[in-house]
Amino acid sequence: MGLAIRTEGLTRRFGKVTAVEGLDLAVRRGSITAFLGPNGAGKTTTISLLLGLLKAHSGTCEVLGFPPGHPQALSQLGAMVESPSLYEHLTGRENLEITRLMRGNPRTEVDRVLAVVGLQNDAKRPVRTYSLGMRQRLGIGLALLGQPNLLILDEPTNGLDPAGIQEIRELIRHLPQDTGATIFLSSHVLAEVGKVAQDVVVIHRGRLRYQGPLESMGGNAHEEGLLIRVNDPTRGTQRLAEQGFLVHERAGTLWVQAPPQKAPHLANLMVNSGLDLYELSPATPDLEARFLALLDEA
Amino acid sequence: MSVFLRCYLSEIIKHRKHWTIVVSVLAPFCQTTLLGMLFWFSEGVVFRFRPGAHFWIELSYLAWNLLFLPVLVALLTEFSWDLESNSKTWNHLLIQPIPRRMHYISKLLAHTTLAFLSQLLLVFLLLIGSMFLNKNIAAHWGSIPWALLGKFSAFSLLASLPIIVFHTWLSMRFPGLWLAILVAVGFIWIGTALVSNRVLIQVLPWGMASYGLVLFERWQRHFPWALFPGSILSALFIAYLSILDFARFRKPSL
Repeated sequence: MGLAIRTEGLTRRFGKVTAVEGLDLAVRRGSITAFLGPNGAGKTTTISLLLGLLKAHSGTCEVLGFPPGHPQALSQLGAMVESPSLYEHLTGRENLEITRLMRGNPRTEVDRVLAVVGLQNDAKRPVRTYSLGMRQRLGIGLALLGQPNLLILDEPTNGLDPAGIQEIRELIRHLPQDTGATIFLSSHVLAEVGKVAQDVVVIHRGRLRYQGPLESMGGNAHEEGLLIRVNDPTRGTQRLAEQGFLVHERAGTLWVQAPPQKAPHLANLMVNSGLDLYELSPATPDLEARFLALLDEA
Repeated sequence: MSVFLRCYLSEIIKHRKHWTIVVSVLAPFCQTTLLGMLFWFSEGVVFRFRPGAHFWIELSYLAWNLLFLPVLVALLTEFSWDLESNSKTWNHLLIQPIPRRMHYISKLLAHTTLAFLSQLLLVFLLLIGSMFLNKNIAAHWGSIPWALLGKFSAFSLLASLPIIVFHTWLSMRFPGLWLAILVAVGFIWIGTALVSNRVLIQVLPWGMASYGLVLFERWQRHFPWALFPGSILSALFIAYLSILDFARFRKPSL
């Protein structure tokens, strides 16, 4: 199976700030690849480089076998960069019609896309009356026109409520089966991409931190850990780190990289440090813990 | 369907139910209403410049070329570029498989279409106004001067081309409603001081429209048809530079 996206040493600077540095990407055709990184990591810059909206200062890049911005590549890809590009005063159908005309797709394409994104009943309403979720779906619909081989979606769940996130997630999950497209999905909503992506690319401060299957992210897929809840999580984290444990704190719960056999030792450590131990249970690290670990290593 | 035609049609869809359509309709409508009221209540003045129907056409095109047309074009181009900025559509447009210059050309042609339609509406409203005013001041109104109306409307259509080209570039490069209006009105009035210079009125985008001042004066009226090829060539040159500028200038909004 070939590559949908390939970059080597891709670098882009804005003045003295290096937004993307020496990025080597390889995205498999037919996969859903999550492109992860905190805000300001260089995700949107990378996507803009892939789409030919920006020029790289160094490095090479191929999208569907063509240089970025090549008409052949653009005719085979659909993208939503940052927020959906919609004309508020026009209806959903008219918005799709504008892009359909530019791409030279048949008229039937608008109805097909409206059905895929579930907006058939709202197609005649002005976009200004749409909810945020409907706008995101229409934005994805614009990217789907012409049945592209590659879909690049930049933060498609940005600003959505849980129900909206669920809607978009289900839509994205079924796209490769329905259309055979490769999906390159950027997000910082880590838990969301974990539910749809097969491969993950993590960047931080413009540099690649991880690339590979989701289950291998952060090392051993079955890496064991322990969840600890104490009355003072900050002090608990400090004590564990002093003992050489890799620990992450989130919402007052500590995740410690350690086998279950270490549980008694950790319980003693917490109690001997004068902390009240509320919970200690085995847990495999979730996607976010793995992601944070990668950023910590950086 | 060619890429060019597809781009143009997609551009036209954007203007549906938008302010660009509203100003294109309002400009001739406002002008005809204002001047119509003036004529209705100023029978004495109309008598001095009789036949009234001639004066109606002359004064209408004076106001149109020196004020309403430049303001209309300024508003039209400003709202049109603003539409893309407000909708944050640039990134989306620039990743479509069509040459960048096509976006600019189709926008320029859409502006030209709207401005032309507005001027055709003006002709229609002038005829309606003339029939209406004829009932009030029939004694010295006379018949509709079809030839004069045809010449003035043709002059106005041709004179508007360089203005449309210039303002399409101006609003793309330096967005701002008041700047656009200031430039439109200010440069036209500067142009009225330069109408005797035949080279300048061909080169300056607002030169031919400024010449509308001379056309108002019946005793020295001579439509400068020979100057239009030069004026249109200047407009094409500005359009060419604008397209190059757009292709280089338009950056993604990150």
